[in-house]
Amino acid sequence: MMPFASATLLLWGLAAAIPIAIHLWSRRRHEEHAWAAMAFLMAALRQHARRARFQEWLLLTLRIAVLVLFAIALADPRTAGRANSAFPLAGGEPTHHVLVIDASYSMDLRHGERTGLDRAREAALAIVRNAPQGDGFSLVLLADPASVVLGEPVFDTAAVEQELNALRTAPAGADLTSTLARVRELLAQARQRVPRLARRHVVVFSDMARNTWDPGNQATGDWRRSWQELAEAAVLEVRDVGPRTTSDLVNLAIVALRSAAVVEGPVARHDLQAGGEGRLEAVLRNFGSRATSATVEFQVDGRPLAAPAITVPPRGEAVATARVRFDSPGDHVAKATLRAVRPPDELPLDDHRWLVIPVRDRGEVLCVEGGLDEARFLALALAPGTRGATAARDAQSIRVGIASETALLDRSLHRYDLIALCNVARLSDRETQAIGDYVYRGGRLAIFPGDRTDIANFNERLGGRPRRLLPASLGPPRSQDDLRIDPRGYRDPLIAPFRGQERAGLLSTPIWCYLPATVIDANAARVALAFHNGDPWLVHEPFGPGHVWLCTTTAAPRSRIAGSDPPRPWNAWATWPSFVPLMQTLLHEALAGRSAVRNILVGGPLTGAFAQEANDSSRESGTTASDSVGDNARGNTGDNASGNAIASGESVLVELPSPASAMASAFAEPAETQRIAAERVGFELRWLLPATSIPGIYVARPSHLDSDSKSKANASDTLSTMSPRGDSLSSERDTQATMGVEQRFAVNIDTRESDPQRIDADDLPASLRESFLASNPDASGLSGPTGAAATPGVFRGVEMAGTGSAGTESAGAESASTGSANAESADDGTVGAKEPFAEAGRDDRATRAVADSEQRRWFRPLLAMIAMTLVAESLLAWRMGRRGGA
Amino acid sequence: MTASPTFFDPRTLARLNGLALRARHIVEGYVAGLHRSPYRGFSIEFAEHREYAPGDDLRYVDWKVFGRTDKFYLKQYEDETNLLCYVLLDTSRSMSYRGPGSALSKLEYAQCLAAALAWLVLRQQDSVGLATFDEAPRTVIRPSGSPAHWPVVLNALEQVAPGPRSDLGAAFAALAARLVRRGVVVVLSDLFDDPARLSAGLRQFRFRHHDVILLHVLDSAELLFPFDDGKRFTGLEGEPAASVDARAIRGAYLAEMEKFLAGVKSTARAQGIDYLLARTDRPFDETLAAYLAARLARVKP
Repeated sequence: MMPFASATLLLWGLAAAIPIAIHLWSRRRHEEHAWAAMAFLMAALRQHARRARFQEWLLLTLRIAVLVLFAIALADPRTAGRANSAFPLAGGEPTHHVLVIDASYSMDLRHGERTGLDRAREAALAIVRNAPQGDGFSLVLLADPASVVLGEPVFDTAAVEQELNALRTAPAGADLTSTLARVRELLAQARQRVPRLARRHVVVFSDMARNTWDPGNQATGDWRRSWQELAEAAVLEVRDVGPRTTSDLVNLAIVALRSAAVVEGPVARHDLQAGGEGRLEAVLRNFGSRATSATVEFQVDGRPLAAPAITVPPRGEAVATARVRFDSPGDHVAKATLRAVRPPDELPLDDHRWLVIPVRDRGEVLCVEGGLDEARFLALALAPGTRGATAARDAQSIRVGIASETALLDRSLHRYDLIALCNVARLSDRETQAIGDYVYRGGRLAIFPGDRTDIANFNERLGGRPRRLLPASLGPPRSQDDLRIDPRGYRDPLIAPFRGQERAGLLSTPIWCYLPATVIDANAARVALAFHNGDPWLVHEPFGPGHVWLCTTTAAPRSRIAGSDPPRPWNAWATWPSFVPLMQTLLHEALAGRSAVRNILVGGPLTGAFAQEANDSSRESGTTASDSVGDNARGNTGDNASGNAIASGESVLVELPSPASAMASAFAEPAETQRIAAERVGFELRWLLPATSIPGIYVARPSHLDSDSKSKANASDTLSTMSPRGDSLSSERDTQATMGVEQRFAVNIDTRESDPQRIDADDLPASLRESFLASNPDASGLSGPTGAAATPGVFRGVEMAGTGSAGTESAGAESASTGSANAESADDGTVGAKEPFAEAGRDDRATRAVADSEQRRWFRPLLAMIAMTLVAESLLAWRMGRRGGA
Repeated sequence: MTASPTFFDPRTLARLNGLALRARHIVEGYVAGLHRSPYRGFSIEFAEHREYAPGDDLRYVDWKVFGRTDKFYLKQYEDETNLLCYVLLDTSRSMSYRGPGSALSKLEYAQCLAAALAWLVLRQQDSVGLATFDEAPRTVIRPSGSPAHWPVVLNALEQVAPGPRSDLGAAFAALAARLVRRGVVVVLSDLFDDPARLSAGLRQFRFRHHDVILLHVLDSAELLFPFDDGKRFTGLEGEPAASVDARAIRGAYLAEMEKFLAGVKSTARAQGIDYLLARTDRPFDETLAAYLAARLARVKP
């Protein structure tokens, strides 16, 4: 049956009575005419009558048909029947199909013989092949970021098929919100450019993974709004190509690879020092529901390290470790690989993980002092062996430079692991800029204000927008005699080593004067230590990849309490036993996190800077006498001297890993080398690769060095083609890495996508659930254990969304049509489980969207029929008239 | 000097009342136009003498010849050689049809023609007779050449009343029996009858050695069927009415009419009858000229 949107308009059908009336009346109306030659007239009539009567009736019928059809068109008919009753599709208007294919890597998950992507591709191909001529196609990848493969509607189905066949997943999750937004833009554009595609049909092929479809996903935001917006513009459909059940899937993933220092007491041997010993930790997660065992193969710089075997409980985690020791400085690449997974893993992409560990022969600290000797104690505490030479290795491990404020501007700050501002009075705009650049590119800053500090200047320069560097705004100095220390439960990693070590003197630190501070962003900032009155002593806050520690009192005993007579110092902390261990943990924290910028997730930007200070310091005379770092011969000075100076306007070459390297060894041949324009800022050559798309190891180096080293290594190599690397680094590259002229980055996948857990139909918005269940009649397996293993159906519109029983019918029809022996699909339980869904989830909007599309579907054919009838009518009338006149 | 065409325009004549006026109008216009007409002299024939035979009327003895030759010869006068013209006018109801494009009905037109012919014949000292008929002869006026005959003919023409229906065969047969003297028979009719009966009727005249001229009076509407919309046609002679879409039926009608005309013409040709189509929307002089041409052709073979 065919319901009508406006049945009252059907009354227009009564207009069909008009031609009948005219017909009858025109008979009656015949003018009387006395006639002599009746015999001939009668003869003519006899001859003519039969045909005339037929034609007359035909004409009448046509005229009536015009009016009846017009009334039907006005009444806006709706199809309630099955869409594959050929007419609406075959005779309908051309449709713009937007095929949105989930390209998150969970689509690679194998279930049965095929992956989700295979199924999606098949279903999409079916749509393309079954679509009537004249339909246009767009192809969009549901990915992060959304990627439009075919934007403007393509009418060449062969081209679409080719693109579909070439589809690959991206090694990342998917951003549903932005993808839907892109689809909407795309539809709007297509509407303008190809207006004849009157119908819009968006099909999303997805495995319905929770990571993508969870409306509560923090990263991508709530996509439901975008969905509603899109639903107003097109008919939406979701095809579930995921596994019917996730219970028997096996996916073991390395969700993290990290290096941990071996902590020896309060002083750490941190992992980035050459000669230091550390530990590689691979965190394994079992996403399946069966215990899974595997061997974790660790490699460092291509050399196998250890391969512990480990068993991970269902939906649990385990950590595999390997001891590692770095003898040479440079960017070391560690890789963990899962081998011999039992039962066999079905998603290989997350079985690898890389870690770049930038190992230095020593840490670099810059202490900027606002007055003489303000940084002396701090420098001693950070590098205890420097002056006393008690431990040779420590002496080498940390180099502390002391300089005045001018040092902030006369060198590249990038190479410092930590910069400390000790009682600096004021900061100029340029100095603030330099510090800001440093922190926001991953630098670590410790601020020790003192009596010289211009609080207003600090609050304004460091505490304001756009780049805040101060975790807390400072107030005027407050002196108090009986200040007690609140360790805040030793929760902060900075203080944690003092736990149980009360005699280390932390709580008895003699402090009499401090700057009361108010934390600006309570969510980000972390108060490590406070005074008993609640005022913070030590506040930490990350700014981008960088970190800032604010200490509200001085690190040197030279600050005097204002107005005190005799003059009293702010504190005696620098000479107290707690000072050195605290500064050492601070240093450790500062150093430990520095590899974070080298290890990012797929999709994130790669950014780095190459120092070029030697080049410039020769021209500038800003180096102070007290700067013990300026003469630091780090090899690149030598390079610069030999003519390899980084000139401004240079570019940086970044080697990208090949997509296949995800499966291959750590040092597969790079797929391509990108040349990136670098920007010279101050003493640095800064570069930025805005987005990464392939997991693996990225190597960046200034382009001129590359050509130089290449010509040495292999004269025939060109700039853009890199020679294949062996499993071990060449000595030259080693040197380059050591010299800091080559930077490595590990780009890993975000393993949240590895979770094959599917979204419950209950979690979907009602409108979507409706259309989803309608187009995936066996999707009720989502919420229950009933595993209908039927293949996703051939093309089927969403018209059936309006009828509660459609799901059941089509399930039956489908299993019959596929003919595959899916014992489960005919299961009564499946059918029973569907009914409540279909009954419960009626959403007006969904049905309205569907109905709108149907109106479009019917209206034009009706108009066409009216037009054709009119043409036939006039032709017939003309012909009859002509016959009479002949 | 040429005649004004208005003299012969039926529309002009239609404004004139009285058949005498109309006929005079036509003929005077025509005679004026025939100033140098070659047809002028088919009037008086020669006389002939023949020997007297006992029983002949002595009045006709030519005494002059007897005086010279002493023999009796009779003088035969032109009386025998005078043209006898019978005008047969169809007064059936079908003749009263007047189409939308015509000023006169077929009967009116035929009346005018008859009157004009009578006038013409009388002017030439010939005799003219008149008969009207429908399904049977109605009025029959014996032929006479006297000028006093003209009002009689005219009166008879004016007294014509349409009869119910035509039966040409019967009417012609009856008339042929009464027109004993050989002459020219001018039939003014629409000939709407069965072609076979028509043919039989005409043959009756030919049997009696009449020269027959068919003046087929038809309305232009009957010839062209110029109707566009639906019409309900009622028969003038009692045929059942028919509602037709004129435009649709036109072709078939015209074909029928064509067939009818062809049949009539072939009948006429077969019997040596002159056939003339007199369309009521055409000027009378055209018709008259055609008639006279036909007459001349017959007189001077």
